[in-house]
Amino acid sequence: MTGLAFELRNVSRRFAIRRQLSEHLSSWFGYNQPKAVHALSDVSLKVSSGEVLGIVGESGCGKSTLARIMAGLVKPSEGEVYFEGQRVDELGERERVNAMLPAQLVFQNPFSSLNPRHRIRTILSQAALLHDLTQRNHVDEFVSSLLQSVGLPPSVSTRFAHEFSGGQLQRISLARSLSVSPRVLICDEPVSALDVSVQAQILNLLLELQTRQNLTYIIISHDLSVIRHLSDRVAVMYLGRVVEEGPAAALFENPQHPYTQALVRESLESAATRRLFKPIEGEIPSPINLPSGCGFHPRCPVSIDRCRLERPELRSFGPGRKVACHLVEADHSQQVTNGVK
Amino acid sequence: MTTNAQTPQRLLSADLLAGFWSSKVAVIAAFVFVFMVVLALAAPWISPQDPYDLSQLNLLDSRLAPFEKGIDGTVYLLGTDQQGRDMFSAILHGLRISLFVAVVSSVTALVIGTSLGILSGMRRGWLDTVLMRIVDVQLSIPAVLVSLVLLAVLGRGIDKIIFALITVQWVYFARTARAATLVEMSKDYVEAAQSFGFSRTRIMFWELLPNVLPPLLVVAMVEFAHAIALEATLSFLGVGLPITEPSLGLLISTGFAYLQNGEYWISLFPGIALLLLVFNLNLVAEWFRESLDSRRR
Repeated sequence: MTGLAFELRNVSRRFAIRRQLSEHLSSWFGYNQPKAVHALSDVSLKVSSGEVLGIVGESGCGKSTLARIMAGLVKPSEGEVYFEGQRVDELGERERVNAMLPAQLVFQNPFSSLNPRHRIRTILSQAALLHDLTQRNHVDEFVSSLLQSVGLPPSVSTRFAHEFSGGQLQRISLARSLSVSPRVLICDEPVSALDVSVQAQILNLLLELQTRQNLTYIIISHDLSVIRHLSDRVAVMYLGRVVEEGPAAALFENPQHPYTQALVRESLESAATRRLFKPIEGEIPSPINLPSGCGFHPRCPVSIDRCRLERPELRSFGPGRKVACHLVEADHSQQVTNGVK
Repeated sequence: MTTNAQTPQRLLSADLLAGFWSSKVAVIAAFVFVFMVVLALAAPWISPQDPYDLSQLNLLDSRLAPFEKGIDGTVYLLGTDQQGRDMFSAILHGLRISLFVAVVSSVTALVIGTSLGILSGMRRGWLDTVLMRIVDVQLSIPAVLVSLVLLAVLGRGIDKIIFALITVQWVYFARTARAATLVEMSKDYVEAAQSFGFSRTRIMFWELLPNVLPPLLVVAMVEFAHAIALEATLSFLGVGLPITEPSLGLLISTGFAYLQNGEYWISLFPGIALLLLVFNLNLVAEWFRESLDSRRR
């Protein structure tokens, strides 16, 4: 199937902060605006079928919220979500989950994403049974073929989750996601809970599954090397917004946004010197009190006055690329690159 | 890295049983408890006398000391009460009633409390607030007081005391179930179940319940012992069971009047039975709690 797997139009998500009684009272009398965490602000994304979209960003930038909105687990506060052409954000909870069944989330921590009191067989078959994707008398073959597809022997089906290692658990977790024959897998930090030696195996398994079953992937990670290894296209997120988007090769080759530049540079350095990944000076600003103008300006090495006052829009730049920075105009791009170096 | 080192195991695994056999206290306590339960269950067949059948009682045999011979030559092992009732038979039947009341009330409280507790931890919001405030209020008032007031209003009777015990006990289960549910809700398998479109009831009973059950079983054991003691207290105070269904507490209470005459046996032996029952049950519960805790570490 070709076409769009996902389309997000101006999606925002705020989470209300639980308030004290005093804050409730003061807001009744109009003294206090209700506070909220702005997890996502005005995100527009398109994911075509069969592609691998990588989403990068530091922790707290809204990556996981985006994943949960795409999986139908969280409803956006504003904006529209289309899954394979169907608008899904307006559906009721039940219908939404059912409509988005072919888009499955793969969780970060395999130690907590499998129920410790169920056998692997139950874990792998129950969702398929519920949705009539397999019959009760075919469960054995169903479970074996799922396990085989992730490289595990069928004999493990009678065991419990605590009998496995992290890498094996992530394989089982993948098999569970595959059990409802999804067309899209949304992987939220698929390997960051695993040992480095196992990470590559899981990533290769993901790639292998993608080519074999023609899946669409949305890979969410803070680790640039993971994204670079897997993705066709990359979106860089900062503070709930997409700041740069483009084909993976071009984006890593010639990053435009100062934030992307810093990320890429740091990931190269940390790969070379094996020191801790520490992208940029300064903290991510609080998502409760967002900075004015460009969200990155308090940490940006090349910010100008305009960045403090006016928020840059995500504008097209070159073939298939978009960037949200005042300094990246067609004629300024060279200057920015120099300025950072 | 956020790997969690906890390795949850099956509830009744082999190593749990192995640990049980290696703990002398647990084995002895469990043995005594099971023995008393068997005695209680077998009471109609093994007791020398039917204490409810007034035609078998002889008033001339009243208040005989232990091992004294009755008027027709029968020896009363533990003596008789003021109506000439064999204390041994009365204790066996009293044990039966005490256990019945405790089982029914704590199992019902377990079911109600656990369901409300899991629901509360799952839904949060106003339901959680309302339920937990009720629990807080109840926990701040002594259980005896709550049940005493309830029984004073409702009157006597086995159904009423069971109702009163459930009312008192469900809060302990609800509190524990809610706390365990909050821990489980933060784990991804709940979210995975949601993304597969499982219904709320299914998530509650199929995904969450098996994981919150271990601490609840410990509470159940403790509350079972608590129910026995509470029922005995209420019966002793005269608001519990009617005189036609004498439980251990009521037996102690009837003998109380004769204690100062030196006729200790009417109160003492039911008292010992009660003590053994509650004490041993608590020992088993304590062992169970400790072994679950150490395996979770």
